[in-house]
Amino acid sequence: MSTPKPLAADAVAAAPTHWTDRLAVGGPELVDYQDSISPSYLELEREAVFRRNWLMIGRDGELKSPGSYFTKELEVLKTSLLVVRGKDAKIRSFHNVCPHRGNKLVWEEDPRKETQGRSLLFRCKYHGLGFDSNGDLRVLSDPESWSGSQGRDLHLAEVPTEVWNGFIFVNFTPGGPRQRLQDHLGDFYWHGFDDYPFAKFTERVSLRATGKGNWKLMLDALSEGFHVFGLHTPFFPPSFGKMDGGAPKFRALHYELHGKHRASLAGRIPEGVFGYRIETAAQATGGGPRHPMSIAMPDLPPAANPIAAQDWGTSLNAIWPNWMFQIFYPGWYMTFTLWPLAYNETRVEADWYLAPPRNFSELWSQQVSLSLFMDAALQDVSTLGAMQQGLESNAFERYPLSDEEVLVRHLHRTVREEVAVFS
Amino acid sequence: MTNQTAHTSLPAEFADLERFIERWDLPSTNARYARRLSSPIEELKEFFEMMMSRVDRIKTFLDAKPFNEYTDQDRRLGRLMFALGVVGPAVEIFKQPPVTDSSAITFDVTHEWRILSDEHSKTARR
Repeated sequence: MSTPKPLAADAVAAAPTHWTDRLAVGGPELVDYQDSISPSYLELEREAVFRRNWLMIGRDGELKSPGSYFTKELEVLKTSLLVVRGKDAKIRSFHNVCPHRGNKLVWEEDPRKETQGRSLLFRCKYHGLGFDSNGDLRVLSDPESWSGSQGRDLHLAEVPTEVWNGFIFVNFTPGGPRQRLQDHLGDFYWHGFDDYPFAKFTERVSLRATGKGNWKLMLDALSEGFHVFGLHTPFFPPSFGKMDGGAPKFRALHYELHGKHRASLAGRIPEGVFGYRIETAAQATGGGPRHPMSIAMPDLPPAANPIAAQDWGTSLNAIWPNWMFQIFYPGWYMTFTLWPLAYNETRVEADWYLAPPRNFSELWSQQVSLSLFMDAALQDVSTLGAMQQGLESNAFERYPLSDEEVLVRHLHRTVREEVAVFS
Repeated sequence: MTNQTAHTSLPAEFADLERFIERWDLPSTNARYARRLSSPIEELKEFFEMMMSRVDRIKTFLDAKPFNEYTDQDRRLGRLMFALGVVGPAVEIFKQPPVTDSSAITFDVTHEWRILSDEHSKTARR
């Protein structure tokens, strides 16, 4: 095992610790990543983090009318959710399990795959029992063969569900949630984005990939712009500057912490700066389309730009534990969700929400932007596998973090605090 | 998906792009990406240059009418542009079909725009 060679004293003294000091997340000491390379640690996280927090599992815009439903696989909790809009228009979630013999209730073709549709009655394929959107039994097969009230008292297992700005959250805490979603999100977020027109960005594009690394390492990559000029160098033509000189261009404008949640602001990618012909032709960037907006955009809510930055480009908000939403100039947003499949495997979900395009140029601007983003995201997800291998070697006990990587400190400290409280 | 080889597969002005239909008129991002990965870079470059030489004219043409008035030919032309959108980064940024150092990973695009889908256009009203 080896540790990094100590820097010369004057280099250390001059090193900026502006954010690290200001956000008081511990530092500049070295960190370890044992929490990301341990199967037993994931077992602790499964109970302390995923079973006891509010988890974002989809948007209410997918459930347009009574009976609209989708299923969501949650391998980390070994369950599947059935999320349905009731006849009363309320959204409810249930374990996607028939209470008769425990068969998976709603699935098509392959029980491992998610599905969606519209139905006022959910029939179990095995014995035909039927349940409505309140989870109540409506059809009992062969009623005379059931003695007493067994069979008649069956009800789907409901999971507490709350909605914030159209985002659907569920909570699996045994005995019920420890706190309301409002308390989990906190004052900054609860009303902080009320005026942002999330629901108007109706054009959704969803990307799914399996990364061969720990869920937290993927969140780390998404929490700093430092790597942009390194990993994503091919996206920048030589005219943009050499790597050494280019990294400062990707420093964040601002970082904030709100309890377990993290926020960062970054500037706007100037249009046309990269000079690739496809980008110019399509008015596209990897940071989103640059066509005129078809939606009237209100002023940014203060929570999206707490420092009133003039060249505001994006507000990235990492909501504990495993969800991020990121809003962009001139008007669209993206969400990331990272679901552990194993301590060293993660389902990466990236969803783009765009304004409805009014013509082909707007549509193509969106499509080319998504294409550029997808290629950059492939680099990130590929790196996740390499990170996992590197860390598991235990070649080093501890690692340094630069000032721009302050949110990486916060994530790993937060998970350890939460696991420690629980265990 | 049917392979139209008739010379009326694209709007008349773009008949010279008909030769790309067989390889690049594809119904989804997943299909386009798979085609990009399995094509030699020379083919990607040829398709890229030919489409880019017409791109402003194609945009003007397709911008001229609302989506709900698009014919099958218009949507096919749009799908060739979507293929260009997927091929572009390979030609210009990576200079090879795959993203550098990404051989172990693929994305599955599970939901996307349906505007250029012939099946969706028959039922949707925009």
